[in-house]
Amino acid sequence: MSAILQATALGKRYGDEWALRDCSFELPAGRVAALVGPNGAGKTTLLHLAVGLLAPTSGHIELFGSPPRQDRAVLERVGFVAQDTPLYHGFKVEEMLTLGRRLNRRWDGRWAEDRLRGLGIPLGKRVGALSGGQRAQVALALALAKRPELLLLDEPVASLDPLARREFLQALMDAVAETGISVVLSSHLIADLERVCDFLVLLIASEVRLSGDIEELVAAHKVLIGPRRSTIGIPGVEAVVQASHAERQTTLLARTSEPVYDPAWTVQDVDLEELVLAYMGQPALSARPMPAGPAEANG
Amino acid sequence: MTWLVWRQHRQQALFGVTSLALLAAFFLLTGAHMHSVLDSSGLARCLARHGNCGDIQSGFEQRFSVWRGIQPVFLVIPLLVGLFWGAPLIARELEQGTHRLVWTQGVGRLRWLSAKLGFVLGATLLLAGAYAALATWWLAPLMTSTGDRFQPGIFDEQGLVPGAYAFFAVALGVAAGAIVRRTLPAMAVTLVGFLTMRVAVGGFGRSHFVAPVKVAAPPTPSTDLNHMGGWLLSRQTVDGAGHRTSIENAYLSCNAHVHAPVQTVVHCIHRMGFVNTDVFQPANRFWLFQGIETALYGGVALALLALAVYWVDRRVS
Repeated sequence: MSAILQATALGKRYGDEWALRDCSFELPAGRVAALVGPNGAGKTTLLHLAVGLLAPTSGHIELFGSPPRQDRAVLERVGFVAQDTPLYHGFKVEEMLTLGRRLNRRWDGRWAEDRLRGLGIPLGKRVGALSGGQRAQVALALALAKRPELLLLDEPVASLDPLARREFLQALMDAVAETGISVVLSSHLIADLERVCDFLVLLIASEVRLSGDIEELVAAHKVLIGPRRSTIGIPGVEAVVQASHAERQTTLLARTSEPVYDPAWTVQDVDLEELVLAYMGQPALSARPMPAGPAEANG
Repeated sequence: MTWLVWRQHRQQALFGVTSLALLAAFFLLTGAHMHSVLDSSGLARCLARHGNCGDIQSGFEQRFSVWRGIQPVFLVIPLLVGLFWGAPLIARELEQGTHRLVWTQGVGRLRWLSAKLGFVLGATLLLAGAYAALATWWLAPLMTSTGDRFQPGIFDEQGLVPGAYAFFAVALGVAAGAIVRRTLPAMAVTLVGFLTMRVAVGGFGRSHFVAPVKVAAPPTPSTDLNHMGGWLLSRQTVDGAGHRTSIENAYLSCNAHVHAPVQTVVHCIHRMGFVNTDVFQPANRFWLFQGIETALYGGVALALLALAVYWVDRRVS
């Protein structure tokens, strides 16, 4: 499968601060990817680089094989919903759709109108008079009416209440099922995205810590519980992500390359949230001894 | 793009056109009256003959003193365009994040910016041009009466410069908005920047556009102290011993009063050695100065616009 979005050693610096550093990953077509990381990890920077709002300081990013900053035409194939779903609040909903029609060569206005009507959003109402959830739906419809091949959403549900959150993600999944587009959704909470995503890009402290198919990632990580002892050189363990030591017992969250048969260890499966939290608890890559030794954590 | 720009800014445009229409109605009504009084009172004819028009003139001035009083209001109008059309143009988009919506559609940010700038600058030039023409016509009778069109503050209200000020104010507002990224602070920057530039040029720069003329002569009653509507920059009167004095003192020393024979006074002033030195810009430089000031403001405005374009292209995301 070819990569629809590819970052290579991508970096963005503001003054002395790197907002994103040495970021490499690729997103295969047809996936719904969660871009997860704590606030300030660089998610917005990465998405802005992806749609050409920002130019990289180092490395490069390509959409469908073209750099978006140089080749604007590639943006016609991408739908983007920025953080806080910016819309002109003085416009009527139907005027927002006119805006989309006027500014894009490829535009399916009929589909967008039907979609918004189906959601019970009156086209004649001013955007400013809509609820937050409705505005997010308008922004999503606007992005989807371009008939994009890739949809990028920056914290689309962060400001929504739980019900609107669920409705928004449901609407998004319906659209994905209908059109088969690839999606990148960012959030600082994995719980928001767990149900809808099948690909993960984990961004922590300006660096990509983990990326890949969620099922494979979850399958490759195990919790090992055993007697307190050295955690180096357990057969089958590729890297220890997190280790905690009680008086007589050690609990590890480890990335495995093959099944762990050592009878000293009890092996348990992890869920995605545990996995992400374990990685978030790690010290920064640049501060870690190489190769991955045991990272100590108490508790 | 045109549709979007019109849809976004039609309210401001409508407000601008309405304000101009109201101003125009005021100018036309009161201006027509002033023009007709200027003719019917005989002041125009009298002034054309360089006669002594004292009585007619003071009658005219008294009648229209209110209009002369509100004149300073017109100094503010170009600034308003910068505050309400210029500053929000980009700042509002950046403030609300809507630039990210527009820039990720099928239109590049430079096309977006040129459409917006084209609209607001075109409208500014059109409306400010119409306004300047009206104001110039309206002010004509008042300036004919006193010959003061070159004076600071009055020079600034007519001819080409009101349009240049408005153009500059808009460019300043646009650039401030792009850099500051918020509407209210951008308006504050526009206000301060505009006043600074106006004070610097009007108060210090303008008098040096061209080297002024210096004339030294005995201040006899027949000397034209107005220099036929020129702009007096400095005046120094000395007596025969070289001490500083004033023209009034010279007249007093020569006992000049209404009934004194002119010849006697002239003779006395010459004899006592009074010399008055005026430094001034001659009246016939009015349009030259209008042109220089317009070019100056226009040039600074273009530099500010270039800065705004650079900033939006490179520094905004």
